[in-house]
Amino acid sequence: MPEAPAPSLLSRRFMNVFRRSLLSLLWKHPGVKTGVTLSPVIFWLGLFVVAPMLIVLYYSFLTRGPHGVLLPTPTLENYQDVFVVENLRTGELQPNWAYLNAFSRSLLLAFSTTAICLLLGYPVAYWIALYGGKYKNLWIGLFILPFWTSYLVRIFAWMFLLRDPSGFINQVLIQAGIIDENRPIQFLYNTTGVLIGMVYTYLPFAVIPLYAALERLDRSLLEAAFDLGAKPWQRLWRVTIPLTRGGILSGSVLVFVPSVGEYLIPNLMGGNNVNMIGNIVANKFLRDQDWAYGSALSIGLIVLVMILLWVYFKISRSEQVFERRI
Amino acid sequence: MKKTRSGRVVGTSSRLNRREFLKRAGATGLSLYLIGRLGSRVSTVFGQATDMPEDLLEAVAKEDRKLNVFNWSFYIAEDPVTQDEFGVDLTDVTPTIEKFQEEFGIEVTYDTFESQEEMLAKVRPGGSGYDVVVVTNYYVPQVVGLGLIQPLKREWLTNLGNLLPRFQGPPFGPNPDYVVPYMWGVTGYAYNQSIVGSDTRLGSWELLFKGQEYSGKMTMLESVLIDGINAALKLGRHSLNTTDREALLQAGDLLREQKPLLRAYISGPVREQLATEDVWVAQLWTGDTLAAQQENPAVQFIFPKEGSDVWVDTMSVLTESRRPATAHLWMNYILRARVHAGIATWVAFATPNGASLPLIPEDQRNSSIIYPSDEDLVNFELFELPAGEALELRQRIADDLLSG
Repeated sequence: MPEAPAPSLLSRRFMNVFRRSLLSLLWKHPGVKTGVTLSPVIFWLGLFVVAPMLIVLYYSFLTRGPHGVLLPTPTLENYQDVFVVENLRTGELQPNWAYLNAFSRSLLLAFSTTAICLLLGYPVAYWIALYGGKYKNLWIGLFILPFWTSYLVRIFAWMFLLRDPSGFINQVLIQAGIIDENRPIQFLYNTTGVLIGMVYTYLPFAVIPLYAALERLDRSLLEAAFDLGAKPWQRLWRVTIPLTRGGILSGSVLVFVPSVGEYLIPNLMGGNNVNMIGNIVANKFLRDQDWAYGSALSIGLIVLVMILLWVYFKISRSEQVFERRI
Repeated sequence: MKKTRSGRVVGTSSRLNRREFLKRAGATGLSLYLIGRLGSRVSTVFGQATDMPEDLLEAVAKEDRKLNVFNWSFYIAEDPVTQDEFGVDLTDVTPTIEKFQEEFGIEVTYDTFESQEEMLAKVRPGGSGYDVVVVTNYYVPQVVGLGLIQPLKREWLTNLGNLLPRFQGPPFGPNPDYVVPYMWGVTGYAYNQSIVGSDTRLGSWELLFKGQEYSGKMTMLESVLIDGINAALKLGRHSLNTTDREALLQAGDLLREQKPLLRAYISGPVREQLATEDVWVAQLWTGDTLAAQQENPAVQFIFPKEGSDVWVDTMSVLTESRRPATAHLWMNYILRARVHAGIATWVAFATPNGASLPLIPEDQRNSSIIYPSDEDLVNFELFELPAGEALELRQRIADDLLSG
């Protein structure tokens, strides 16, 4: 085959210009630019968030067959069963108290956990950010350190501490004569136990964003407040807290969302006396092999959390809560 | 191959193809020969294994000499069973997996689970890669119904005859077409002899359901669906396998009345708390009670006079297994008297293998907890999780009790 003639300088330049202009044209188009920049995120979310959710959504409309077999006939029964059941004796329809109670218990426990984590976490993060000095990173590192061991192991360690009467804390209190040997404090297998476990587990999720927000706090604003005669609590309430609102917001979301779906802690530290909605979902999937019903419950939980987050952001975005007093 | 792809050699392709064909034929012949060699090697290795049928060994030789087993944790002889430690010398068959690998040259991957629910969660979606899976009798109808396990080739399981007759079928043998009994035990309750030893209700489920004075010191097993409802049914003198609505509702009422007396519904952690005397009475299995007893000799076991369930863990072959023959080889190996005795001795659970009994240590064989007498088991039954309405009712009762 004869050698092809070398492309002239002119045509090469034309090609380059053409290529560049096409690219820049594409690049300038806002949709393409956003698409290209976000494509890894879209891919990630699509594969690991949207696809699994769609599968759960699909399952939630399937009919339950014997032995937990899923039949492809679409039905709304799973959703109906979340809210309404027949009374076992009379056969009358009644609200499904088991699940409604578990839902409300989950919300209550998640709210309490979030509140306690913020109340405990804020002073800690404040102290580390403002007075931690050169050991700041060490202190924050200590908050992350427990994540190096298994969550399960840490829960078991807590159970060892809290048991009654043989647990470490009860033994110390008994030896010190603070409590009667025959009346140990029952920490485990009740709401207290579940709360201790959840606050312990999720505290770092509050401390870290709070620390990040407090770290960025411009000290000169505090000095200005001081110069203008603001008392310490006024500086905290009118300057520090409004300026670290972002940390408070993300901290509370990071604690609330996982704790509302928690199931291992009520199982182990609540001894199944304080079952949350997560336990019911787990029971439906694992114990009952009832994927359709479990999916409907999961979708219910997701919708509930989304509504709550929407309300939460709506309220906090309206700028009323923190900035009214400034 | 590259040449035949090129356009220039189109004209001679048929000749090349023929050469290619000859080459391939040669390769096939060689591999057939190798498989044959391998096969003969297998049968010479298996020479001592007179208990394994010839066609089973041939089928095994055609598989890839690997096996994936999924079992409860701490449920196989993991160390040698020595005279010093156990009082019997079964070092020729323990550790179980190692000895199996040595004898048959099969590479075993052994994984463990902590609950049947965990096992089902891994196996049910498919593609778990396991060949042999241990299923507890309650779930046998469900895994069969879901098509997860395949019918056994009983002609390959020549050692089945070693099993005690009562485990080969009714009353205590779960579906013999699909599963092979592995270990068995009983659900009853553990109690602290020094605290509740003189109670007159001891021996009956009544202690655990009505023992007001032990309020907050008693626990039930985590699975209300199975163990909780079963105990309540037996207290009401019903069969575990009843599908009678009234009987089940009555059981639900008993459980609701009992709840304020209980500390928790827990399975795993209760063993430790019995030993430390945090818990005085606990619904429990024989094996766990024995472990607690080793730490605290005051812990004893009751076979409730109203009855309870005999549970049997069984070996099964997954439908999706690509190594059914190797799986049968494994099961038939376990069924050997010495092998089964080695496992039972190490795990301290009861073996259903009658031929193994003379080989296990005397203290275990004579333990009334591990091997209850026939009188102990008078009202005991094998429980199978029902399907349909009775199951839904059980689920409702459990959900209402724990979350209502």
